[in-house]
Amino acid sequence: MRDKKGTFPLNLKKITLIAGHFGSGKTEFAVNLALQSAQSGHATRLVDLDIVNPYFRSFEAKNQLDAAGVDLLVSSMGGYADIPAIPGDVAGIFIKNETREIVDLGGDPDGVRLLGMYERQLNNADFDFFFVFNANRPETATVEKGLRYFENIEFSSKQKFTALINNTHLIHETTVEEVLRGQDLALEIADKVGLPLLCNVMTEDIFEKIQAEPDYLAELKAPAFVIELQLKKPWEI
Amino acid sequence: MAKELWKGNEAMAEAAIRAGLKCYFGYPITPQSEIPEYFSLHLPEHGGVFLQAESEIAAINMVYGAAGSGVRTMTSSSSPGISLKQEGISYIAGSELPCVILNVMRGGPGLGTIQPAQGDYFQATRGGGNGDYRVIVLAPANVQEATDLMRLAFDLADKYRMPAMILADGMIGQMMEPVEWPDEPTPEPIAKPWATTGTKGERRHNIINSLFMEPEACARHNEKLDQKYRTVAANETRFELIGDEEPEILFAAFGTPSRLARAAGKILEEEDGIKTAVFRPISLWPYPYDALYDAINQESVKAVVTVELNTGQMLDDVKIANQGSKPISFIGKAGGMIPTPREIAVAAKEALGRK
Repeated sequence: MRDKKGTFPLNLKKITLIAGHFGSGKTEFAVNLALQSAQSGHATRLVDLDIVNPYFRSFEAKNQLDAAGVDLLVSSMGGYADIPAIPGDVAGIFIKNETREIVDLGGDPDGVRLLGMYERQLNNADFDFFFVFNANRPETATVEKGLRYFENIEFSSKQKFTALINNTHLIHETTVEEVLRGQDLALEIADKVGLPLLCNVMTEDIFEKIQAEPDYLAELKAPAFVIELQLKKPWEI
Repeated sequence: MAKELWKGNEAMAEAAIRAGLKCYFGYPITPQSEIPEYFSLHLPEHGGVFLQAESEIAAINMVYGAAGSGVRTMTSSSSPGISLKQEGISYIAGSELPCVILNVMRGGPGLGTIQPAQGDYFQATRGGGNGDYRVIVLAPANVQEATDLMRLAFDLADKYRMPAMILADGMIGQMMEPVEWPDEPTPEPIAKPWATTGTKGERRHNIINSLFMEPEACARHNEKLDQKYRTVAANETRFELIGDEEPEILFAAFGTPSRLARAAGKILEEEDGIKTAVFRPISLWPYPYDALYDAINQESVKAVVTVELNTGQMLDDVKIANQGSKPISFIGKAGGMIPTPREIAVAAKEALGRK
């Protein structure tokens, strides 16, 4: 865990549910959250319940997760089948113990529908439900469009979000301005739904640029969650 | 226009709408189901028709009908679904109708896997249907190019009255990349005097058919098609040659493996000082034989290494282009696995007789 000034303190509850529009970067966020949780000394399990995406799933970061001591639980026959098969072990995330469960849900209202199955358990559970937002995704490029996904996902999941995450990026072409522009839209959505913006997700280089420039720092309205890209394309070496 | 982050499948669907697509017919299959999903949401907003057919076979025959009426039409699927469409593609080619077919390839044969592959090269470039016909085949290597080629596919299909196929590996469909949309309006539909739009009592019937009662007429039809295909072959080859100007190793790869080959080239340059270049055909039919021959026959080239997500299919075309001039080797994986840049670099060194 990073203890730099202005970074996300990572006070996670027993269960962290992560949802949003597909392609927003939920998986990269979930994997980094799990890695940093384990690195800060907490028993952590990453539960890959993405039943929407066949590729770029959190289980593909298995080597890094293993090395950090993060347990992994995967849907859809180990992630290799395009069927919404949920392993029975998932019910184990509701057992009251010290393990932090980070649940990477599939994108869109379709991806979170499976939470309906756990409605009763969630009523008695200590959990957060994060809405990951990326203003560079055309389907969530405006406050109105972002809100629509926010509301539709709440409806399908039968759960209420507890916080927003700004994950606005353009992969390797991300700029500080992009992150801050996304933050402003995320704050508007957060204001409308009465929830906090928990953090701004960014890579180390963006974080350094913000730290070095007082004007940028003044514009940062939520802590930074600094990630290292874990899900690389096969030619990115 | 500012860049946005798009998933390949969505971006190709959006590009088709911007190219003036009016009728889409398809059936879901991984890893391309985002395409029909995107059309179901957005094509009607642009006055188009989205229809999920009862099968892939039904979908391609709906494309046949829509193409006959003169509108821009397409279908998409992944490998086993494209196999089902082959009869329809042959009929559409025989009837000289324009349409676009998008194949987001997965591992095969049969149902195979849902992971990325390029095992449909033979099917796409040699024709999976019957008879002497050709399909224009374009292979993107990144999401931006996939959107550009989608527009081109519609234009070429209309220009030559023949099917055009986008042959994308599963990575193109599933990965996220920045896309910048060109500031180009949707083109006005071109005149299609052959289309079956109703005579209104003002002209003779237009008849769309691939059946001939007299062999002489069918022979003349084949000669006409052959002439057309020769024109396309002479005018529509596309390729990219990137890397060192005096390479020792010339990689030949289409689609995303060209990016693996470039990454392998960086390893070879950094660790062994071996200079490389990548020849990437963008049109797989017509194949850029002459350009590849010229690239191979640069004096510096000692060996050609073909990289594919199959067991060696484009390799046949590389051999045709090579005309026996330089040694050719192959590295690839089929069934949904991807060779690493390191493995490709090792294969390239072996091709040079070095360890």
